[in-house]
Amino acid sequence: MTAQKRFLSILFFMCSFASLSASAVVSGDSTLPNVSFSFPIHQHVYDVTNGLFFVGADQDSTCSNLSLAVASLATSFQALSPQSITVNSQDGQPNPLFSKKISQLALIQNAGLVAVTADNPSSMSLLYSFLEFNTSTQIYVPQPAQAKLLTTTGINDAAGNVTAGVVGLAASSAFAYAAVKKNGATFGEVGGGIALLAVNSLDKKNAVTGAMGGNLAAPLDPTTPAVKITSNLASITANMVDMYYDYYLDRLYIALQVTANGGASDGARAIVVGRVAGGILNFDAIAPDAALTGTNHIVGATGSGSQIFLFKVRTLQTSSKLSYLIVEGNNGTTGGPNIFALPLVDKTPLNQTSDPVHGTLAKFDSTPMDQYFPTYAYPIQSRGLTTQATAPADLLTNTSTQAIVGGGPLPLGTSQVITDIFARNDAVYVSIGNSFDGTTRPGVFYSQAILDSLGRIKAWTPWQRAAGTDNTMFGIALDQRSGRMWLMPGDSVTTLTVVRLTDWTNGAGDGLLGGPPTNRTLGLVDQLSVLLPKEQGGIQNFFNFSETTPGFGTVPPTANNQISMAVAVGLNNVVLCETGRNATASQFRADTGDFATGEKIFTDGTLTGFAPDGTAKIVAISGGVLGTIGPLTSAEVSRIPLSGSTTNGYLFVGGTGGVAVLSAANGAGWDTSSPNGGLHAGFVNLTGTMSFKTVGSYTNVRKLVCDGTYLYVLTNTLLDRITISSIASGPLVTVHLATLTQLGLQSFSSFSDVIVSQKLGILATSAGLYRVANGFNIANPALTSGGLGWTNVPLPEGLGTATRLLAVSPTGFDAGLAAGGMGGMLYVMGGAVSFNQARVYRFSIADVSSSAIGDATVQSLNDLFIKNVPSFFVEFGSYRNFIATEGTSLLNEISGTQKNGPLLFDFGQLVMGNRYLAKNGNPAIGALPLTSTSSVRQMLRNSASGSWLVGGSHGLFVNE
Amino acid sequence: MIRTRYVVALFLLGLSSRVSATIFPLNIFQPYDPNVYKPYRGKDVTTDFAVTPEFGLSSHGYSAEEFPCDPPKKGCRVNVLRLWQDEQDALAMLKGFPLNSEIGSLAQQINVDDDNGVRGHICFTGDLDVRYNISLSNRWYLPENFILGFYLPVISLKMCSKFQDLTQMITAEDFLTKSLLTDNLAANVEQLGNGYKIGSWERTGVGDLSAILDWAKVFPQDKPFLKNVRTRARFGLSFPTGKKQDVDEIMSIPFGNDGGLGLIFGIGLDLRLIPILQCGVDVEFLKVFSVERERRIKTDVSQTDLLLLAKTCAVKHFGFTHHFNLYLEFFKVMGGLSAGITYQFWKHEDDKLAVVGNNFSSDIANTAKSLEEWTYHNLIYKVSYDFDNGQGGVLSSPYLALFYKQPINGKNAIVTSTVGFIASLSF
Repeated sequence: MTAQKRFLSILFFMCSFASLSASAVVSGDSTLPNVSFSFPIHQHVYDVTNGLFFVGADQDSTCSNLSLAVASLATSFQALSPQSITVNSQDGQPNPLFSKKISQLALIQNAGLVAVTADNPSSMSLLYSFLEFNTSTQIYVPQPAQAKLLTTTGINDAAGNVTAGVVGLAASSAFAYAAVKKNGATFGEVGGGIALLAVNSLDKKNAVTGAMGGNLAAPLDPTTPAVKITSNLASITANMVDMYYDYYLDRLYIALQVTANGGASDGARAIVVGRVAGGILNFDAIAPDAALTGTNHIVGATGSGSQIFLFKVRTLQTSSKLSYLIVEGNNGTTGGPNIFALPLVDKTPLNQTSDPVHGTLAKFDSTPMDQYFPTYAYPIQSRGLTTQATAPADLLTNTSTQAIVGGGPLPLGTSQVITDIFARNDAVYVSIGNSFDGTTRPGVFYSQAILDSLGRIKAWTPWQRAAGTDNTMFGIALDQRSGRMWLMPGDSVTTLTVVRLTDWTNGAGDGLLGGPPTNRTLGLVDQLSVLLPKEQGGIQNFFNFSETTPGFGTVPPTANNQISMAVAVGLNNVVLCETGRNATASQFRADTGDFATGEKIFTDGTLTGFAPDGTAKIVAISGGVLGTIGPLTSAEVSRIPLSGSTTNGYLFVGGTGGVAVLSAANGAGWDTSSPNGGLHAGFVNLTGTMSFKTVGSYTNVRKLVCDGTYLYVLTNTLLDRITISSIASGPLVTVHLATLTQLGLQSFSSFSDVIVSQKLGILATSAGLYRVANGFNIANPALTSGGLGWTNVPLPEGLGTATRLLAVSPTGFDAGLAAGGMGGMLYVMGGAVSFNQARVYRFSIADVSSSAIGDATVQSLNDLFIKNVPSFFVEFGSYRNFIATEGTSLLNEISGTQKNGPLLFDFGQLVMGNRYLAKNGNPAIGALPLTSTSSVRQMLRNSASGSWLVGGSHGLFVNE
Repeated sequence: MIRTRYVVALFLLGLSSRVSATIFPLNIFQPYDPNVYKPYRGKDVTTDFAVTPEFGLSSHGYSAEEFPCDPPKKGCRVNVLRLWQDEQDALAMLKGFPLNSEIGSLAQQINVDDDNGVRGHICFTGDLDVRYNISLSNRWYLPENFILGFYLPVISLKMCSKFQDLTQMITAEDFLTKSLLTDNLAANVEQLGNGYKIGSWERTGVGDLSAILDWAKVFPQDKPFLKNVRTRARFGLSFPTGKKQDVDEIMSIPFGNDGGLGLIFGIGLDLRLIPILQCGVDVEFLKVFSVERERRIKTDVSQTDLLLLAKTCAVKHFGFTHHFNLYLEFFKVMGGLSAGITYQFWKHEDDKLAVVGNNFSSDIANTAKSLEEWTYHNLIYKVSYDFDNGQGGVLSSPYLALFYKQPINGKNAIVTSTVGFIASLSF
């Protein structure tokens, strides 16, 4: 690429997403604004433990000493490939990486990097000695000046000839694994294989015999038993390989694209498990032949010409300590949009990690085995599924809810593939580099695993946006100590020059929610700070309603038919904020920049004069009935799906002084007729005849929930159910579902949170957690006041309180907690201000959409610390107001206290068995420069952009 | 004659019914303070009776040095009810109680979003009126320069307490805090605190009776600038006859050692430099033995000292108390007329609580500011007239003195400027 072309490319790149560049650019050598490097980059690896992001140049000649570079949260990119370096213990030698395109790159945890350059693909270099342990932060930090290099040339293929090139690379703390082409040919045919190099010397081993210096790759080709079933494979797609090394399981996973031979009993496996024993690299079958008899087992199939194309492979260990294989791909050749999770055998609890079965597919419904330390009090040491899948019924299929990450395919064309993936704890993040079209939505998406009572994955949340961007994205990583994301946006994989890092800020002028760089006051953040000023308590709660909320427009091909909305509430004030719309047909995108143009402000509790022209992104309403409610705490929409010629779209708000509904004079809500009704972009279908009206007689409202039929009103002492249709028609049909007396609680007890899903209601109280009793149905139309039974749900090793409920639902809505086929998962926080403590408990919730509530409906997860003592998931060590999780970490917040401003913490390890979190395990994200009088509210994701939003007295804080 | 003296003595003792605030940081005189009785024995006198009424003029507090003053300085002058904290925390008041208790449940209901530094904060304003502190003493002159003295104070105090709720009305938690707690704070505190009253109070009564054996001897000197030297030593006991701290009253002040037996030891040195000028120093130590009784304690470290709902039995280990006087006096410059100034310093070291039982934590209880060390500094101006001309024969050798006590600094202490007089008769 010429300099001119590159410059034009950069200009185009900058223009193409100038409005979505909120995250900060991490500086490299570029002097251009918003550009990191003056040359293309591509290869990248992320050191999760130490928070280091490494990139490799994608072009020779111009990258000089930045052909390898590293950055951290604290530093911009530092050069790791000086022109002269100690090579193989010889000081001052020419650096073979200097100014070279890096074609392969792999991380050796806490030790270094292995790299292959494009110009010398049969050689390998190991960069080491540049990491220094910082005792105060307990992480390694780069010291580039200390870097040294080992290098080796002439890596052989499986036939003993110098390879034509390395096409895949992974590393453990002992070995580097290189997928090598056959000399003069490709990887995937006989002669290709996996070369094994000792990382302490880069000695090229004989991977077949284990001999040092033997320089022979282990053959991996259509004849390898680990990939073939019955007959040799018809083919392995040339040079298509992805490798991932699992440090915990001590196994190498190799993803291939395979085609079986023509016999009916012929089959293929697309995942190979690599295991080094005695210096020999063994390839184990991911599952035995007998288990892979069909054509739907994701990683293997039997049948004439069966094909399995896998594009990416990763592993994760869930927060319940179970290992899973994560793959992109499917049976067939068009599995790009599919991500699957399959349970792996972990024989650590049996101390049998050398067993070839270790690391292969586990019987998905087997019971995990726990291992405890042998001394009193026998704390948990490990957990794993120890039974291998040996029959087809033992394996999940590509239609199994447990296996389908995201609950379905990514927003990606069938011929497209993701550009990056990482899996950690209970989440899988992917990046998409293709541009918007009918199906494809670029950006970053994640899905969270939903665990059953034994800690196994039983379902996944729908794919949701993350990182506050819908740029085409080619690389991602997540810092587990701060929740900040590393991003590599760009136009194409060959022109990447930018690395960005999201940050927790007020977003000032960030081009997204923080407003245009030239005028931040137009942004949502500043607009909210004006409409809900700090002097009046700022944002007293914040709610997100995605574009799939029932009652919103449902016709993507019609431009501006769809809307996503956030509702901010404050003192006598409610602010509706459009967060996204499909301004272009079938392209639902987040709103950014200017939120102020078209803004409508009403001060008499009505929408009088509102004639929506589709431009308004903010509608603020105060006064009138709202003036009598005082501080607002809750907002909800009716969630009634579009149907017929109905007008059932309502917005409800609640607060200290009661509940109000936004409706027309005749009680009608917005148009919910099918198919073209619903709330549209610009709040079209709200009308000038609407106003807020009081509903019932309530005080101290804590939460409003709608299930499409009923409005549930939770106050500090009461849970009521109101039939929504009666609000318009009158008289109000109200059922008292729970009172303190009914639950047998003493005076001064209180309710704090509720979730309603199908028949199930879960109530958090100062005296613990309650659920709807067996056989009862909270949505039963025939219910009368006091007629609903409640059952206490024990909180293992609990404080006795339940303060917050956090649903992880297969539908993405709280209402889906007990639905979706397998049900969801519930995080319960029990905070006790009296003792300055907060604990989190976890429950598996069964689907009760077609069955009655029973003893198995709400089951505690098998979180524990000590043998045979069920316990909580984690204790924060001090009080917390709110928690939030997306699967990789558990964010937790506390409002300002007498000594500190509000704090946001990140429990980034998110694994059971920690019991009490030490400071380093739950570090404060030091980015809330607020006073001790500041309050923070429930943090949530902006569903349109994936930004984290933290509302509070300070206004809005964002991570984007 | 002797019988008459006994009758007078008993009468004076009978008058007394209350204490001085020895173990509480309040700078009213102790009845055995050398400043409140006739300093010298008259000729042929065998016993002295003295009455020393002291009347408070105005009171204020000196906070601890780390108190957040603006600008920061050591020992800010504060209102008496802001001695330990500038604001009291009604939300923190609810912490540390079992979650299934009434208080614990209320805390949970209000405090779901916790204390934001304003919500539930109460600003107290108090006016402490030291109506009188009458020190009664009867000193018997024994052979070999010994003096046996009995001392008893009678005290009357009045505390006028007002408070202001600082809670705003902008968030749901604010409204809830007001409606459930601070709108009716006094009644809620009394109910939840098992009778704890945060309103005004007044109390009158005797303090601790002290019996002290003094020894004082004058050593005449024949030097140009030293005419004689008097050395003094004393040892005594303070008996817990006084009113104890009322744990159900806000900032209740005990009239003595709060039920503790006190051991007193002191020494002094007086120097007559020239015939009309003398100076001296007096040092005294007080050790009060530990007492177990019901007390209000902190149940959470964030609590403030005036809003404590937990009342439980606890042993209080009193800190060591010491004070000294340093004076300069123009002695009998005109007949029996003398005038002098005394600098007085008091220091009481940290108290400690040992909570009886396992329901509460002693560690938390001991974070109370009121248990911390306190000090105060006074200047005492005194004009006296001794009708004893050294020749004997003056009827009952009366001694009269007027004094004004000016507090000048302190830490963690309430100080009152007072005026009073000493009236002494000798027989």
